[in-house]
Amino acid sequence: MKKEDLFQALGEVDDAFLDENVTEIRHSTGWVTAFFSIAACAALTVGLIHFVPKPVRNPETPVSFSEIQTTTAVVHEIPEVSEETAPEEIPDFVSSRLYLSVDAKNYDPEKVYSLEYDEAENLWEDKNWIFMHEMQIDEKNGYVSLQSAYSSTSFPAVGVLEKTESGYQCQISGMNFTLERLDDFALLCHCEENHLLDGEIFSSQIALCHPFAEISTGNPELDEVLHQLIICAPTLCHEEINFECILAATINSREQHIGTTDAFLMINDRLYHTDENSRSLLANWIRKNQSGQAETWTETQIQTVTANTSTTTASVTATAETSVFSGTRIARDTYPDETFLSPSETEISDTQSEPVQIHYTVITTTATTTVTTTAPPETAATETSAVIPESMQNNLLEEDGVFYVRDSYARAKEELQPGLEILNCLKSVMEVYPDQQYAVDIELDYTDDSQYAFLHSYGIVPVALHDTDYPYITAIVTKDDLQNLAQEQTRSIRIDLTSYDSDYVLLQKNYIPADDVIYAKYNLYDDEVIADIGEILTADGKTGAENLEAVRIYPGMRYAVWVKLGAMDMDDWSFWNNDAIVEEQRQLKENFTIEGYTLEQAQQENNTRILEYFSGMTNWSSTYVMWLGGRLASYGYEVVGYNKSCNKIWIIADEEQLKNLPVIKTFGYSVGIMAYQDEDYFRSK
Amino acid sequence: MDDLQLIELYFARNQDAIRQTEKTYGAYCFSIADQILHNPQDAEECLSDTWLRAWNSIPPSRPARLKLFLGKITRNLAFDKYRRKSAGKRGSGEFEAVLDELSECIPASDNVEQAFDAQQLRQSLNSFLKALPQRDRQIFLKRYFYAKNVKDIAEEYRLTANHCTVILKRVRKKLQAYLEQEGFL
Repeated sequence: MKKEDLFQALGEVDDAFLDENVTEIRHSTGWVTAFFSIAACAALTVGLIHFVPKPVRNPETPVSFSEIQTTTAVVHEIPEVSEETAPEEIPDFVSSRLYLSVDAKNYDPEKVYSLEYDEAENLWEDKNWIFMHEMQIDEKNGYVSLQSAYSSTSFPAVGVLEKTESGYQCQISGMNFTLERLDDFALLCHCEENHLLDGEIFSSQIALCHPFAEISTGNPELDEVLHQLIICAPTLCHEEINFECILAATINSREQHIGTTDAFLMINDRLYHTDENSRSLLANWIRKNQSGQAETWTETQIQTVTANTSTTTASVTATAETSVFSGTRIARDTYPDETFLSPSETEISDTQSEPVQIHYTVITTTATTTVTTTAPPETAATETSAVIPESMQNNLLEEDGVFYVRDSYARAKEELQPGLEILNCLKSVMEVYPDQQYAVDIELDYTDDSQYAFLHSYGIVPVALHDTDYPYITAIVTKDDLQNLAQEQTRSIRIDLTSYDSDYVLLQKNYIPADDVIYAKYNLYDDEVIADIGEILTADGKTGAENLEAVRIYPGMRYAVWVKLGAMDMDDWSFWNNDAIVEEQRQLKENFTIEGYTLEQAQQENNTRILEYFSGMTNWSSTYVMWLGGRLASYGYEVVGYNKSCNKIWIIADEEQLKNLPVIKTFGYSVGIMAYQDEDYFRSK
Repeated sequence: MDDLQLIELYFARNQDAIRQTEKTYGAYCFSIADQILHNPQDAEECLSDTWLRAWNSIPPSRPARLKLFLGKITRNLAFDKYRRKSAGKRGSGEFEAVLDELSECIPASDNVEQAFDAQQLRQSLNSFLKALPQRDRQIFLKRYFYAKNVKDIAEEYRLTANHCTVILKRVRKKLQAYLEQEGFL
């Protein structure tokens, strides 16, 4: 098969694939789920709620209302709700001060964008619609977490809030957020676009509206609990509210899954819910069951968290530090919707007569599922030197004897102190697993080229650099390495476990010296690394290897690199048809050897491996690549070989040579470090 | 005029069908041809051939999606023209880069003539594409069906060009593994 065959075959793909378009991705999630995301964002309360990581739901322990301890707040009055109309008593949050996110280019900060309920679905037609992200802000402790609503992979990320004059700013995974306070009840969140590889973060400006600023119930414990919940009823902020209880529940509605945690709000004895469909269904069900099922609903279904406040608070306190760093895993990504709700849960219908198990979570700052039961929740384990906190355990990953975390913890913003600071997660892991290796991020007080020499002096070899927004160096260390480093008193160093899925490929950036030449352990022209190495293809035809990371990490060496041509100037036929050039190309091909074999020799011996390499010489570009290789050699470059497809040249060069790759009938090059044993390459001598 | 009405014109052998087709899908087909040929005159020629092909094949064909039916014809014609024109000369250009990228999916040993079942390949490709995440699939097809350039694709999906390149690279790698697994390589 040739590439042309493949191209042709791709011309016959199913029409269905060609008919897809971008907006369909957004539609497929369903407006309710999406809307909830909007509501969730809109409901974030800055200044009120603590950092609230969504608990990891344990599908094994559904709780029925009969198990719930009740103390107060009986539903006295269920408002009449229908799916067609929204009674006045029930706030239509949709028409509340919910600011939409719009395309950053078109955004007018002076204009308030509002969303009318009926227009919800139309928004999905608008290409400028920005994906909403669930963001939880803990103003008090200065953290914010972000969860993409639509990322196919779990992408929780945590950042640290910094106060500014107008609000806050924070950075999460290289993405800058500015949270501007519009008024007492609204924040406008600006988010810059980033190019995180796996996360699908788009430019967005999200306006957050939180209803409960400045409201206190007079009950400090209840206030504390309120701070822990995501409240999705943004228009209720102006009312005098008598909070009896707050309940968060998930309901498997007849129409669709409300797969995430919705908030029901009991205010002045009225039950409110963000979603009208769910509201009506629940209300209907409640109404139907009030008389017949009083013991399971009216007396038991409303769980006041007051009874558990002290425990919850205690758990907050005890795990304040760890819960901030952990628990950003969002249930939706951990468990598919199907298991997020109890398997035994049934749909609510108008004819429902049996009590329905409604699963709910009271969101607290603990990272584990918090289902209020008669027994107080277990106190979160305090950190001891011999125990890895439960909240961290799920976040740990070990591969080939090296520990990582799955999701990076927040980058502490405090100033570095002299000496070595090992952060909690790494500290815990080292105490429990002292004989392993740890993939760590090392933050130094100043970052320049001397940082590598500094780490080298302690026997620590950097293996990767983070995205340039973070001045971290990654290395794989042992406990002994860190004990040595702990002797350092002059520089300030902070270390924690690094994320396996960070925005670089850790393992593929191991550099190894072989015969005084730096290679990579694995192929580095693969996906992720292309972004890091930096292409040096430039419009003006200049070449360079300034961004070659290995050069920064191991200065003064020679480097085995692959050199891929940019477009060649093939239109200059007067050049290519020149007799001398044609003869040069002919001779190169005629005298070409691979690992010392000519083609004839390889054929005589039936050396299939060598013959396979020779077959790559039929590639159209091989003639020109070989010619260029010959020219590079004439400029003093050590040309080692080519790749099988013969569109890349394998050379060994020092930094100066790499920076000065000559432009010879090419529009530049891209370069990358060669893998030490890269079977795609052959030696041409 | 919608597709149903257009197709009826073909069935009625009403030559207005071609004029209406050109009016409705001319720009779309032109962009496909131009992405491959980078020559407006050649692209126009492709379009003329496309309308002729459509006229000759409808009826009896009754395409479910006329736009894509025409797009595929144009693509094939443009590619044929490209191959004819570039037989004596190899050049640079976006389309060459597209082919070059696809060659990464095929080991060098398969650059020689090797029999394969084209029909089976098409089916396998459809299966492969079906298994991809939607975004990746769309980006892949934008590049290797429509031969769009990476920068434009990135802009459409609000990605950086680098990110888009990475996605394409990953999918090509997956495709290579898939083709090997299916026995095409």
